[in-house]
Amino acid sequence: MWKSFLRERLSWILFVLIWLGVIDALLLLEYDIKVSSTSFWYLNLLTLCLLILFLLWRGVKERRFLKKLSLMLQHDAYDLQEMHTYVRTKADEEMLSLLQHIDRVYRKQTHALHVKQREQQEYVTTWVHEAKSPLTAMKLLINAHRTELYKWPWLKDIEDEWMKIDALVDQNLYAARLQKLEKDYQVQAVSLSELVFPNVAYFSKWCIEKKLHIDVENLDILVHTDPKWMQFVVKQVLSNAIKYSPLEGKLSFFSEETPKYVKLFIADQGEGIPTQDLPRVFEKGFTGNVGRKTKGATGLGLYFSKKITDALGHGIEVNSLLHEGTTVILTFYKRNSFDNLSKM
Amino acid sequence: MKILVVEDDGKIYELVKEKFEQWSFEVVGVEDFQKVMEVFITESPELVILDVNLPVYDGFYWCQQIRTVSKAPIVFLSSREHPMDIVMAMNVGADDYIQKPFNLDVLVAKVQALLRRTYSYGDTISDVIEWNGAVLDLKKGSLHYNDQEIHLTKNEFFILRLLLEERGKIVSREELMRRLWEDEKFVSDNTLSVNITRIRTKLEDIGLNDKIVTKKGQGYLVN
Repeated sequence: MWKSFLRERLSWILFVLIWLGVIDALLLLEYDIKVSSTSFWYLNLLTLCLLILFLLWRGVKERRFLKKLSLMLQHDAYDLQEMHTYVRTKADEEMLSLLQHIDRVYRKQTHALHVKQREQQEYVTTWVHEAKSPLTAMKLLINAHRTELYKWPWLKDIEDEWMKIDALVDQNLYAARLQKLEKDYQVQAVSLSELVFPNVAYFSKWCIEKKLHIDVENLDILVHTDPKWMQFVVKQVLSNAIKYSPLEGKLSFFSEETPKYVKLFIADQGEGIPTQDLPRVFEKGFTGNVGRKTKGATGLGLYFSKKITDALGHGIEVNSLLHEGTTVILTFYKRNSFDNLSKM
Repeated sequence: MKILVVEDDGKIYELVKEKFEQWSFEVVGVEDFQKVMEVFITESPELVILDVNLPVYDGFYWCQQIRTVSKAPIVFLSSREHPMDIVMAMNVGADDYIQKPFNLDVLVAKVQALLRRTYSYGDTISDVIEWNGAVLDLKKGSLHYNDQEIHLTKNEFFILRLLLEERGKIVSREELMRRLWEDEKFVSDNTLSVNITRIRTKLEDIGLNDKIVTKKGQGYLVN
């Protein structure tokens, strides 16, 4: 700071020094002026001392505002109003009013964006709820005729398509809500089976068609989480597991409990994920080779899952062996109540 | 038993009505959604099924209105699944909250349970299915025939009940499995076969021979 201050004032300093030099030259060379060498050195020393004192005074005064400003900007919460007390010079004042102007413009813009985004979010939410009505009617119609499937074999395909639309509509709702996830969740005690079973039931048609074997072990353990969000995460994971499972494959759900955490394992016997792809599975839009071959991989499921588990303070990881299967592990950390409070 | 169904989606209303009529309930609907209260008062139903998103006023409003004059059980049907909506529904006096898309069997089961609790009509609501002189007790999960009683496991009871409900129709193995899975009983193909065999043996034990007919390639038939 001092360095830049001195560099900026260099021409002035040089001017004073040259001026001193000229006077010195005059004193030494001019025939008519006679000064003792003590007086000569006294004059020089005095001038230099005054110069240094002057620079110190100006430096402290002029840098005060900038110093405070940069300190404030280092922390994100800056208060330009407070800066008025640090204004010392006209330049400070002009700079402050300029900053305030820019600040006002940006605040206005971000506010407008917030309003727009909220409107958009509300629109999506309403839209999803409206869309659920015809979807429900359609599902009830399909169910009403399910016992007579042999008469209408195409009903199966329609149900498949129905499930895809329903999943996409759901995803849309959760995507819109994701932005305010930090404020929008309620933690309660839920058993792992409550997170898993409704989802397996939801995908029953698909699982039965693929003749999948469901293996369930130790899912009575309670964890603390928001059931809605985590059911959605399990649904994403499960839909992947079913999608990539081979015919007559096995889907296993089991858990592990330690004093520090509870882990939920969801394992399939699918193609697996190549090692080089593993670090990227949580990226937005990443589908990998198998995903690209199968239609309907949006690359959003795991991306959302990661965001949700992060926000809720849980862990998610994917282990996979090529040609042997994939295991997704959800970790629910046990925290004391104080940690929970500070997280909220 | 009379049920008032307040649902503005015509198709859903039709399907709900049809299902409840199968269970010999009387179902009334609403045509003018400004006059829900009037319909409620003139019909005085034993139970109300209410949609949340309705024209003019929402379901929460009507629930409050009904609560000022009646204690009849109210079940909400809604696509809103936010915890706050459920809390709100309970605060205005609802007894249950079912999310769309829902399963009609689940809706019927919940309604029956609510009616049982409210009116203790334990026996008048079909808690038994009668079948050629045999009686399936839906509460105890047992079957009575000629003073004999057989106990069924959960899966066996569920399968037999389903076959009896769809009496006269062929029920495919896939459909049976679907229903079991939707009830969170994730049985495999083999387990289903084992269960069917066991039901048949148990039926034979009390003299009901060959009651479950296998239709090759199609499924099972009970007459």
